Parts: sequence; C-alpha cells; structure tokens
Amino acid sequence: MKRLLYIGLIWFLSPAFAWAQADSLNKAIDYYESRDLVKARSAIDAASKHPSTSNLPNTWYLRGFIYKEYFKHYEASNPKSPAREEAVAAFVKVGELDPGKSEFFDDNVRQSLKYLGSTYYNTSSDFFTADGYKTAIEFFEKYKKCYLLANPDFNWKPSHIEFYLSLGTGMENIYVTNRKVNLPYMEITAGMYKKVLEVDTNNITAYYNLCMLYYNHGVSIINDMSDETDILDIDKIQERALEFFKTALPYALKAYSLNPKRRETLVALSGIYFSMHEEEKSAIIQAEIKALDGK
Amino acid sequence: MKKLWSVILLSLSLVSADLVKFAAPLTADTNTKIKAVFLYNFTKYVEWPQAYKSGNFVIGVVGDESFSKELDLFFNPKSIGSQRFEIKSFNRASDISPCHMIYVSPQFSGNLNDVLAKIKGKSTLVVTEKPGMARQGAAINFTVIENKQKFELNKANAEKYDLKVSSSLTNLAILVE
Repeated sequence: MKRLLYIGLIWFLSPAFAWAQADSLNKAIDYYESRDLVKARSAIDAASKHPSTSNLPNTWYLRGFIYKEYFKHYEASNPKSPAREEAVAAFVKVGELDPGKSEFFDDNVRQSLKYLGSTYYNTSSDFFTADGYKTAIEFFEKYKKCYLLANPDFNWKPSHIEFYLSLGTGMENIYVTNRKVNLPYMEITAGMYKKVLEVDTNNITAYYNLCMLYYNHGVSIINDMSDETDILDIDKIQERALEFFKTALPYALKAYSLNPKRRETLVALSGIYFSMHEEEKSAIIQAEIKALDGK
Repeated sequence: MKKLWSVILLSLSLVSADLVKFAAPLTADTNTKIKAVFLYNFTKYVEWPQAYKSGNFVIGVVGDESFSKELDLFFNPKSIGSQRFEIKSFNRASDISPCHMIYVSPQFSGNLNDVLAKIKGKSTLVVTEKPGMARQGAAINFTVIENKQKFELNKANAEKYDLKVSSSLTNLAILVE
C-alpha cells in the first residue's frame, strides 16, 4: 500500500504533526501492516475522532481498508456487518475530502467499494424472506451506491432487473404457500415486478409474471369457493375473481405483443380469456398454440 | 505495506437468474366449477314431486363427457336429503334414461327437441347453455353477462314438468317467457 506509506510520510513531515496528538494514525498503519486488525481498528477509531486527524483524507482512506479487512476476517458471515458499513462510510468520506477524486480516491478505493458492493448484492438474497425483503432492497441500494461511487458511469440496470425479478419470485413463493394468510405478499410481489418495468418497459418476464400473479389469484378464488356456496354468493365470488382476471389481461397482452410465439404467454392469455368467458378469443389463442406446437 | 490485502472483486452471484421462475398457471377449469356450484344450487332451490324424492338424485349430461366427469368428481359423495347424487352421461337423446335434472351441452343444443321428447311426462329440470334455449323448452339456460356466469329462467318450462322454483332462484334469474 504505497499510497498509505506515502501519506504517512507526508503527514509525518507536515507541520500538523508537530502539534497533533495523532499517534493513533501511525499506530493504525503499523497494526494494519502487521495484520493486527483489532488493534488497527481501535487506533483508527481514535484517529477518526481526534481533531488533528479526523479531517484528513488519509485517516479515512486507512479506516476504509482497516474496516474492509476487519469485515473480511471477522464479519464476513454476518450479513449485517457493522464493519462493512464503516468501511463504506469511510470510503465515502474519502470521496468527500477529495472532491476531485484524483488523489486519495484512487483505484484501490474504487476496487474496494466494488468488492464491498458485491458482498451487499450477494447477501441480499438472504433476506428474500417475509420479514427481510426491505433489508434485501436496502442491500441492493447499498450495492448500487458502492458501484456508482466507484464508477459514476456504472450501468446498474441489468442488476436492477435481475434483483427485482428474483426478489419478486422470492415474495411470490411466500405468497403462494398460503394465498389467504399471505395475501399482502401478492401486492408486494407485484411491486417488485413493477420495479423491473420502471427500468425496462419491455421486460417480458415481468409482464408475464404479473399476469400470472393476478390470473392465478383469480383462479384460486374460484378454486377455493366452497362447493356449498349459496347461489346468492356465487355472483360476488365471480366478481372478485373477475377483478383479478381483468387486472391480469393487459399484462398478458403486453407480453403477447412483445413475443406472440412464446408458448407460456399464449397459455396464460388463453386461460385468462377462458376464465372471463371470452371463449372465442380463448379458442383463437388455443389455435395459435396448436400451430406453434405443429399440430 | 507493500500491497493491498486481497482486493479481489467478488462476482455477483447469489442473486442469480436461477432464482427467477416463471409462475405456472393454476390448473383449474373455473367455468366448470362455477357451473357445478350453480347446478348444485338448482337442486336445492327447485322442488321435485314427492315421487322423485327417493332413490338417487340423477343428473344427466348430454353431449359432453368431460363435463360429466367433472360433475361426477364434484357431486361425489354429496347428497340432497337422503338422495345420493348420481351423474349419467349420454351421447344420444335416445340413450337418455330418467333424470331429475339434465344438462344439454351447447354442442348438443341442436337436438334439444329430441331431448324434450325423451323426457316428456317426467319431472326433469332441463338446463342448457346456448342463447335462445330458454325459449325453446329449457327451464334454465346458462348465459354470460359482463364476463360472469348467469342464468335465464323460463318458469313456465319448469312448471310444465311439475317443478316448483323457489322465489330466491326466481329473483336471481334473468326471467324469460
């Protein structure tokens, strides 16, 4: 870490060193070099708070690396690692103290930010749970922030699409385990797929998944209807199911317009029309499926 | 401090494409389920003569074997009062045996007169599913209004078979004369 050494030397020679009681920064460098990360952390904490060193970019530069290494060695299995947060915050501070991002905010910082960002991305799926999905989103945003800090031109859209499609699938898995109890997760799922469409208005997977989400919910309303349902209530149940079939239809039509030869979409569209008693339209789509299958 | 400790980029891997799944359509013929529930209700809201209140309660299906099989699944092992339901499937009008209720499929509607001739003199509730059938002899005709399953009722076509339709059913029906 030539830069750290260089920074250290410059700082030792600077007038500030004469009056600063900033022994901690030197100790932090020594501990870091000798890989005593626990002591390096204590020393850099002290340096980060000391008035003579707290506004020096090199303090935060070193702090970022110490905490990054601390995270790797002691908290890598902790998805909510405080050390990782500290490392990112330190590198952010380096950027603030080096507005031109030319002297201190170097390739090592950029690479470290990408590394830390990747760990956020990769652990986000640990939170594809009923209680954790907001944390997953938070982690994705942290990943994006890290990468954008490292490279303002970073194209985050492909990972955004992949992340929200995956999270949507995760939330849908929760919802389908018990459609009644987990009903709120249906709209949460839809929200995830709609996030995909925010950046990719022609994402056929998102349209298809949205159509299936609503269509299947409508079907489940009918499926769950008791055989003993009184004739007075049949209409209300049909009304509820129809609402979801109608919601599903535009998504199916959009997916169809994007690829009229995609079998899954044709099956879904035919099913929606059939459930809406639009049997002629359903039959037309069925014919397209048969043509596709070469029958 | 000769080099940075292992600044190695992790690949973005955990949130991977294999987590993205296509939802499969739920397998269900929603329309059949709705019609089955309607038919079940018709057995409750129509009263048959005393002579028809013993033995199995027979529901005939003409011209739609798959619907007949679905009804069999739905009605087995249900009963109305002491009468167990029995589903019978017919492919020709001449095959029709005595039924409490007979469903004539849309594709068989052209032969409605043959069906009516076969059940003449018996208390059979005739249910069809094609526009105009309630004016051509059916007591109940399934229809679709605003994407929902509804039914038309021709009360006279029920009464001429000595069937009494409850006011609840009458109130829900689209009345046809």
